[in-house]
Amino acid sequence: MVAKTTPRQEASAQEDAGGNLRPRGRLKIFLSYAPGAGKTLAMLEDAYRRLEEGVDIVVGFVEPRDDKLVQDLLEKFEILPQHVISAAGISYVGMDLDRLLNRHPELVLVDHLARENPPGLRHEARYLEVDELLDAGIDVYTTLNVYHVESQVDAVASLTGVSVHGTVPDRLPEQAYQLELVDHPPQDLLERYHAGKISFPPRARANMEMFFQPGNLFALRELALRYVARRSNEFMRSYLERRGISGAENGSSRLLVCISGNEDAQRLVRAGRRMSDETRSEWTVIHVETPDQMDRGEENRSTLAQHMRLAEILGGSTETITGRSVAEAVREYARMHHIRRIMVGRSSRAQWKRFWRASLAETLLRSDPTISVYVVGSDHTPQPFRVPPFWKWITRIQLLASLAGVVLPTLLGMALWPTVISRSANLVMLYLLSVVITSFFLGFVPALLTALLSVLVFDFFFIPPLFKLFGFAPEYAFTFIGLLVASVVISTLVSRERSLTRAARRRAEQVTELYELSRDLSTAVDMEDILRTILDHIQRTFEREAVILLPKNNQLVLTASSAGQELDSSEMTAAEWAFQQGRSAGFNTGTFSYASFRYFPLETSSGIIGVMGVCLSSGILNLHPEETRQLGAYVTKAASAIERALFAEEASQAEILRATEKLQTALLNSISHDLRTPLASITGVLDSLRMDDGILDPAIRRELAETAYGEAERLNRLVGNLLDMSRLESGTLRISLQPADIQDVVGAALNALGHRLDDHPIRVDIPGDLPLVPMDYVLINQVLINLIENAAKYSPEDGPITISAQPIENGVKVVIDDAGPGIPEEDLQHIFEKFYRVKRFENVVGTGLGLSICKGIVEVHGGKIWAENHPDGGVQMAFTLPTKPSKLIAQEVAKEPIQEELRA
Amino acid sequence: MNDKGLRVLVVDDERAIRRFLRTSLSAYNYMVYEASSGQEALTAVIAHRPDLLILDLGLPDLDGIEVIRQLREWTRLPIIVLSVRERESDKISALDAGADDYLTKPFGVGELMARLRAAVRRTAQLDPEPVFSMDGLEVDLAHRRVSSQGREVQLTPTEYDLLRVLVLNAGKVLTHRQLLRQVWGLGYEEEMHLLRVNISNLRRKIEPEPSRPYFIVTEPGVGYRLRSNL
Repeated sequence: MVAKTTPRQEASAQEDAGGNLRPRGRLKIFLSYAPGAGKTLAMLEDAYRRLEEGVDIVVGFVEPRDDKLVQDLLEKFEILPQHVISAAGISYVGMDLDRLLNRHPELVLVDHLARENPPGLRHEARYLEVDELLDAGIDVYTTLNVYHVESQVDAVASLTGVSVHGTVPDRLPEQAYQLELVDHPPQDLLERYHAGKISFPPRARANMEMFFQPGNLFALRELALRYVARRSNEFMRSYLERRGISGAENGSSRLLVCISGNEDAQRLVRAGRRMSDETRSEWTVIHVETPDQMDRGEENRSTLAQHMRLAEILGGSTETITGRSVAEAVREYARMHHIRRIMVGRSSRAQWKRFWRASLAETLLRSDPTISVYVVGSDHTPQPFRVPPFWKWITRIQLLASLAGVVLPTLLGMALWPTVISRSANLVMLYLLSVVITSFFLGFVPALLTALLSVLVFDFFFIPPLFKLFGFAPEYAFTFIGLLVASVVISTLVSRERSLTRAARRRAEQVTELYELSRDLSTAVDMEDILRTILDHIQRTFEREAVILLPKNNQLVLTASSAGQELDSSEMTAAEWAFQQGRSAGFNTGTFSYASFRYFPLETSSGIIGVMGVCLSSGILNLHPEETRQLGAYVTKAASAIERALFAEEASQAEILRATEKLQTALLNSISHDLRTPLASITGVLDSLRMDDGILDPAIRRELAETAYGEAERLNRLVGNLLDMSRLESGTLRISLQPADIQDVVGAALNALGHRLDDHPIRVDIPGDLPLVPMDYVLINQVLINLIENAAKYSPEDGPITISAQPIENGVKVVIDDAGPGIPEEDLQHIFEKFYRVKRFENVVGTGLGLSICKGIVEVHGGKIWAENHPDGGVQMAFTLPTKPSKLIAQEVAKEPIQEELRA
Repeated sequence: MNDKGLRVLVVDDERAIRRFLRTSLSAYNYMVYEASSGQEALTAVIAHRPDLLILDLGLPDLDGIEVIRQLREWTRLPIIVLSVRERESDKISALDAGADDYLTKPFGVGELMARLRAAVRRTAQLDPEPVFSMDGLEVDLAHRRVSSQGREVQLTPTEYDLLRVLVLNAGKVLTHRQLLRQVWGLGYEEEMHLLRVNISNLRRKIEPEPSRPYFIVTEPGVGYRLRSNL
């Protein structure tokens, strides 16, 4: 089975075995705090030293600049031409990644690790390109400013007021082999900046203005220094660890970060990253979906997805869970995973709301005294609570229904009062009932509306003074408050229960779907079945189209698609990349985001066995986080099912191979025996004759010689048969068709058989006017020899053999009759098979090839051959030859000039 | 009939074959010379001036056909080629290039001798025998009369010409093309059906059992031969 090991697998294998797998390339980053500090120069100088040592270095992308020193150095290297893309009339330049990969130098110089790529390039960001180079085993030198490091973004923002875009995830500087700080006195840098000597892209001008303030520059420098210091601390610690030197504090327990869908989440994620860094612990970002949030619209979901992606980029794991309330869910999660440290954001709820409910932090602290809660401040001013426009709360139908919920009890009340029900206060129950019903069927907000309106209407219609709001006796105040409170409580409870029930039902559905997928996969018969099952399920569950690609002959090929789509070359490129690199690519990822599918590598323990693509670009664009999880589960299941099918195929092929080999061995044994037997006689006879000192009678000697000669002839025939058979089988038989006379061929065959036919009277019955038939003379001659010889072998002595021919429609039929015992019915069909020998005649010699050769030759001519039993004994073999053969395989006629005839 | 003192050059790269031929031919009082390659053959012909050449077609250096061609540029030395089964095209090319006859390996001494004699007889005779007589078939070339088993046979001019060519080359194989050329003339070499039909007619007239031809023997894939027990 063909499976690709992921680069990650390879890298980890390399760590373990130190073996022959290609390791990941080494990254050296020249880090500084601002442009103009001399990173590029430092990089080039370092590289130049290595160039002199003989290292194969190529410049991947270094932007030209006015600096003479840089230019001079740059010219010393081999520079790969840049990749130019035109989009919307503008030309962009980028690094030619494929060319670099092909060229595969030892080291590549790439400036500006944080650059964002123009659209159309394979990767969105340069750091992804560098990733690919490193995966391919190529070392990279690059330059980076500290404000582009993801985890430092907030610090930079708070220090300088600049929010930076286009950041590089921390894993790159972390995994870097070397981090070299390029320092430069900030005053000097400032002067150079004001002198206009520092180059930067025009769009960064605003930021640069901010950076190049004295205070900011110093702050940035300190940030850079601290970053490098911390990193070197890391190196030290892992060095100590590797050496087994204790004292290195192992990472403390996991950190849990809770985010919501609002803007603050980003800050929270980065803070989580920093904390996990400082405490050297793993961290998880978690989002709790409560029932009332479930019905939220799409924007929120995509914001959330972005935050989750940020978390992943920064190296944390992510999860989305559901629960009745955020605090409860978080507490449960922390308890289950033994997490002691929780990070939350400052509550963004307005002050007044905090009166009702404690903030998340307080709730958590109160619930479990042993946990630590970190609250991250926010400079986000809490928004005043603004009532959203009316239609966001309630739909028209719901509005009508809630009004009905008020109107109906009123009418009913009017009917019942004051006759059936004497005290109007008792009518409250009707309204309460109505509120319960409304909240059950319509939800919280309509029920609330019903409740409020009910109070007013009740007052208006049933409480004295009638038909007037207010002015009622104070005791009715209790009724109203009671009604209102009860209604609110009931609707809150009921609607929450409704959402929870819905959520639970959805969960159950998902589990059922997954179960059904497993069940269908386990009953699937073959690969095609499995693929079809997977695609059907994806369509049913996610309502999306999907495709599956599997490798064939080392090429990824579209093997199944849910709607019979074709994939164009850009889609295929994304799929191939996912397959090669073992990471998802495509829609909404950092790589090939212009593709309409997202491609997931199907990874199993044997490696990557294929790719599954899901169309995300139509319908609802963003996947619900639960859907993402579910899809992940589907991908895993699909991978293992496909792996299973591949194993099964391999097994059956191995089985076939084994059976074939067994058959071939049997055949070889049989042929070997048939070849050796005549040789045994010949050798025996010759040996006797050789050793004879005149003892043997001349008559005996002659008899012996005759025997040997006969056996030699037999051996010759057998060899001929084998050669014919192998020629027929291999398809190298070339027939040359010439019109020939059947009588002629029969005569020649009879002649060739000679005294083997002595014991049998031969009758030939061929009309003189039989047309000439196109045939390969030699081959048909062979057919006749075989057939007649066969007749002779199986006929008793003196048994006549008749050869006749007659014209038929479009051809000629030749018939050979013998007077032998006939062939058993069940064998008649098989006698033309290779090596088939009729069981009755075990003592008859021959390999059983003769008839199958006849069949092969006749069929190559476009004719048919068959055998029948005569009703009164004997076998009839017949074959036809067409007069106009449809297959004309003409041999090349020797086109040589005829020699001067030298004979009279 | 022993041809005393006739000199034969045997050319085959396989020692066993050469040995077999030398033994058999010496027993019939031929003087045998050997060569094991094409080049050797060419020099040996000049050196020993044999009366007959037996030439294997599967030589390692020079193509057998090439040897024949080169020889035929200056000598009418009778040449018999040795070939294997299924190489009819080789045999035809050799015959067309000037060889007189062929033998298919494995062959027996009897066959060898018959072909030898036929090949040598051809060149030896400057005036062919006027009457060919064998086993009941009599062909009087001088008077253009043919009889089979005592009965005179009426042949068309073409049939007679065909028989005549066969008789003149009795015992030797003639390729289809050679026959067509000699009987019908240049330009007729591809007219196989003409040949077939006429052979068929001829057989019907002179053969005691036309369906099992005795006199006119088909050489499958190559041509025809008139049997001769001389």
